Amino acid sequence: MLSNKDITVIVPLHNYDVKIADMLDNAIKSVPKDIKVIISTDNKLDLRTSTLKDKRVSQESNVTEDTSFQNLVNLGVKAVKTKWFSILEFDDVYTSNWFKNFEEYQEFNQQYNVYFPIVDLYDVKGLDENYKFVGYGNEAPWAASFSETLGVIDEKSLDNFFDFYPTGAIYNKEVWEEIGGLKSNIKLTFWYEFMLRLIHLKGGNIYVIPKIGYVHGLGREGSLLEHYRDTIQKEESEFWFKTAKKESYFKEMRDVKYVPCAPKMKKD
Amino acid sequence: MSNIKDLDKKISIIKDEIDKIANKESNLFFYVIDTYGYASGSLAYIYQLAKFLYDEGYKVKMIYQTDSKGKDKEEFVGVGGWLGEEYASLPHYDIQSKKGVEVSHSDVLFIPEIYSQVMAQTKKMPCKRIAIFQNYDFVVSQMPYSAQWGDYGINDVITNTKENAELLKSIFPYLNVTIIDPFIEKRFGTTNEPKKMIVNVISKNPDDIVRLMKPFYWKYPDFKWVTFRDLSGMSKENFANSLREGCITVWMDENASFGYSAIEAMKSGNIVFGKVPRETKEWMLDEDGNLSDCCIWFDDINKVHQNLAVVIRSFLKDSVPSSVFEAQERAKNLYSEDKTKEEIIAYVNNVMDERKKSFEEFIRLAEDEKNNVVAGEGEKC
Repeated sequence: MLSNKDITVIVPLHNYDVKIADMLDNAIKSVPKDIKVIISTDNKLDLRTSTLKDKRVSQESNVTEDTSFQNLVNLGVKAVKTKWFSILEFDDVYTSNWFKNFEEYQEFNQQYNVYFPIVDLYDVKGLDENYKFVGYGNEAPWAASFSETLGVIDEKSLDNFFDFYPTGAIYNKEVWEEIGGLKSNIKLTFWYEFMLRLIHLKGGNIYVIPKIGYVHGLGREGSLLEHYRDTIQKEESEFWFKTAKKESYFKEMRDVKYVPCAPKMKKD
Repeated sequence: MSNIKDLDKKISIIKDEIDKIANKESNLFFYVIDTYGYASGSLAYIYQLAKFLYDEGYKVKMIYQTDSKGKDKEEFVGVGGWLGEEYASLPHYDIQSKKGVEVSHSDVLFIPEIYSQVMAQTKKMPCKRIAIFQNYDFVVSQMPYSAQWGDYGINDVITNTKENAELLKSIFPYLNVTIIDPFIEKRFGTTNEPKKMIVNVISKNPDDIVRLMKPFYWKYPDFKWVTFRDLSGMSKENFANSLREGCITVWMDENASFGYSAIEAMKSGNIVFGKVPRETKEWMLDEDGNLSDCCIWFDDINKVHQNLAVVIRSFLKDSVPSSVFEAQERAKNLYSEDKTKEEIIAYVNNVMDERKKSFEEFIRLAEDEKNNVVAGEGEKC
């Protein structure tokens, strides 16, 4: 059986602001004491917050032009020394039994390289409001006939459904690196592309552990998804989905860029 | 002299019967119904008792009657598909064929309560007849009000619970009723494999499943992804595997003779929702005689949805109170295979001993009569 010592948690942190220190503390407190945490940042952090004094927390900094979420995650993964790792967003938390459940379910489902939790989704628009439960994430594979095997995300199911929450999940580091990690030049659908690529290149499906393992906030101001929601139009969104399907057959990043169509000129 | 010859013949026959008892050559006939491949806890109980006796060396014969009214003779389906080959491979005989079903004095015929006609038709048979009583409804529905089991010469009964024994004695107080406890087969149990988010549904009425599932989805759309699995019609092996796999079982069988499926679900590590049956059994009650917490009880299917949603959420959060499983322990441990085996073997051994004694007594009386005849003949001379 696995132990927590085989797992590392990565917290990607872009444009750190002391205002989020409490949330970061809260997130890291949800990680069991025997699991190491890597904060992957685009700059060195101020070590005054209580979290950063925690001895199991280390930092990986990347002062380059590519400060995307994907690149920060990949940077964190490089520093991982364990077989497994998970990605924690600074405003989310793990449930107390998630890692224990991972060990139990993984032991009997060893053929998978990625294990998703069921996610409790809360609407967190505005930091001081009472959060409202809005539903579950990653739950769909437990519906009958969603995929070939109950609880499993396979290629067929990804054809029709892409609304998954990959943070909080636990990944096999070796497989992650073998297939090339997250692609930073793909916007909006980079997780979707990663999941498809995992299946295409590694032939492995994704198992959803039927336990709530992660609590995720939706609609946080300044979050990447909110940013995409505000800035990406329907045509671009469709482009990224098509791109994800196409690019998922390639390990390496290729030159992908969305070029908006020029407005049609009226004929005289 | 013809009297003496007759008596000698009878004595010889009865001596042969005593030898049969001594050599376990007497037939133990179990009259069984064909459920056409559908699982039945009551039928499983009969087969289990028969199997224990077969393994003990008794000459067990499962007998059935096929319907030959139509052009094509009906095929006996049996229990192989759901109860397992070890039970299906017990010797089976169609009474229509008349082969292998010749009845003699030392034989015993076990008749399930549903076959009151068989009780009447076999009244004059020389063998011992014992009724197997599990379901009161069958007695009420099948017996004419003008007759009782005693009228059919039925004096001995085995039943599966104390409650059933009391119920039967309340209508036919002259019966000798013996309780042979049922048991849950070893195939039902847990492994270390963690549970899947599947709700098993056990009901004989397909409408129940729809009435459970659809309103649940309507009331709790957040749980539309929860899979309900209908376990009806499954083989015992698949049934056991499904129970082991799922985390919750909803058991709806108001007319259950015992409630095997509910205990099987508990033994398989499930949280069990139970629709309160018409007749409560010992395992359902706590020490004060109230419904025990081993099941989450409900009496109206329309009111079960909320509790089901709460329990599903608790399962997902690992917050099911341990008291739910603690309360199951008593129900799970009330019955054991070894106990049932001991009880049925002791019971049948005793029946055969009594039978032997009555045969010996018959021989003694016949010898006396023979001596009297001889003495009478002597006096005449």
